[in-house]
Amino acid sequence: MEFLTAAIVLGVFAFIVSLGAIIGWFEDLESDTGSQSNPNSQVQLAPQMGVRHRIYNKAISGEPISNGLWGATAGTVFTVLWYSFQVHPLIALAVASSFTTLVHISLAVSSHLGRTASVNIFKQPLYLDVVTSHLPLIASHGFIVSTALVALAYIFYNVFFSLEGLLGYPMPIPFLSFLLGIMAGAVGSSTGDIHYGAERQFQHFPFGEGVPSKNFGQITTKAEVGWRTSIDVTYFCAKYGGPMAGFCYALILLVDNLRLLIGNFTVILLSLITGLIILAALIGFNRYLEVWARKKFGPYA
Amino acid sequence: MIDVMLLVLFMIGLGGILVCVGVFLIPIGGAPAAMSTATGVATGCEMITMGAGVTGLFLAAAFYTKSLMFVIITAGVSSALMLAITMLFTNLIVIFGKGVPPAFATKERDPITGDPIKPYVTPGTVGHGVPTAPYLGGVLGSFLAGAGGALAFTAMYRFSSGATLAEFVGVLPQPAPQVAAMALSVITAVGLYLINANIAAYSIRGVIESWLDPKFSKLPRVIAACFSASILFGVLILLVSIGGVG
Repeated sequence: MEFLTAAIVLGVFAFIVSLGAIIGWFEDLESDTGSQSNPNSQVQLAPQMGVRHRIYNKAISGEPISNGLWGATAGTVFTVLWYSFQVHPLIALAVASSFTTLVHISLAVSSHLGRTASVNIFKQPLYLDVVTSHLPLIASHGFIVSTALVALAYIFYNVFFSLEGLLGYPMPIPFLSFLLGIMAGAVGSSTGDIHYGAERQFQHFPFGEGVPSKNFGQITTKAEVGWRTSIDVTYFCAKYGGPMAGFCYALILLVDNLRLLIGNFTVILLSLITGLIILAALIGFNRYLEVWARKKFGPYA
Repeated sequence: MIDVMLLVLFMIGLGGILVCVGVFLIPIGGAPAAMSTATGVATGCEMITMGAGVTGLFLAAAFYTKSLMFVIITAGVSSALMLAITMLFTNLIVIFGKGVPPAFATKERDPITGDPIKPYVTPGTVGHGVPTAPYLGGVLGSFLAGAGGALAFTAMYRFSSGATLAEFVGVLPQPAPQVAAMALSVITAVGLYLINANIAAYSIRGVIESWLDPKFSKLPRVIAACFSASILFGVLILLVSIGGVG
């Protein structure tokens, strides 16, 4: 193989992983801004427990489904513009992501209004300033996610056919961005959201304890200054939960594409063996982490 | 034609069973796990099964010409890697973001490592994070779920792109991939994940601690339900795809 081809493959590989980190990171922060996914149960429950709050309460659907929707919408518009109307990919990408953001915002508003109306019987008011101040944040994070999803799908599709299958996957772009969106949602929902749901949402309870069921709904409503809004939540989760979700998604893409590269450059069976070795290493590291944490924190008296 | 269709139908049914067993093995904590109130992955049953499963579809699509057994196992390992990484990061966030060690209250000791585990559970909760026993169950479960989805994906792809009976299990001599057949195969696999994960989610009521959970004994009856639903789904998707074969 030529040196230039190898260099291009490695460059694209690095770009794929970095785009993955951006998707996971911003996807998690977008869900934290709107209290989507699992922590939403507490935001919805809070007024019933007599806790009034100024947290943005939207749950369009489960995170993988909603991110799959952003991916599929942006991917479809992108494909129509790029493939059918021969628009330059960068312009098509911007237009497709802008359109997706409009869909996203309309669903985010209707979902917040509907959810707040349903708890109005428990005296939870609808704060219009919360709606107007949070929407730009949700829109900007959502825009970055859909742009990165479609860019990644476009790279996978294009690279597969231009590099003769060395990297990338031969699926249509809307389907690729849909699947990548589902993956991003599953990762963000099961990793980054714990930082919001377990820690930031119950910050007035002691650190170092799981949240007992009796405390459900008693979410923290006071911020460092004044009332807490979801913008404070995003500020906090951007320090640990969001980046970790990004690293997780990037690591998944790294391992998957590394196996594909190893399989294509050497013997195909080696990709399977590499996967099994990495799997064993992950199990070992998890065990080490578990033992370390128990030793460090100790049992509950 | 009929013999190939029956084979595809059987493969979709088998894929459904594998996805169903996979869901039972993945430790799913649902919303309580996101508050560190329950053990497992902090998201819904369908969500994590689909998230892990579709990761396998990528390599199944890239290695579309390879032998069926290789494609299935490679895709299964991809899904297992995805869930192993996700559960590791779950533990990292639980440990460093919330300050609690991984633990569960179902048993006094971890059945695999033998460590005493119950004293580490916060009073008032049933556990947090993903300890070793559910972690290994999750790795196996996601392997099965990924393999099941890849089986349905590959079967549908080979059927839609006009493979003969001999080419179904062996190497597919195809110079370039048929992108439209890929699209239909993705729909088949994602549909299979959603249907079977939903049926399994009803029987585990949204939360399960892998093979340690008493709900695991419900598995045989749910397998029968998942197989029937997958066959019905397979008949429908085959009817849809017939138009594209000729």
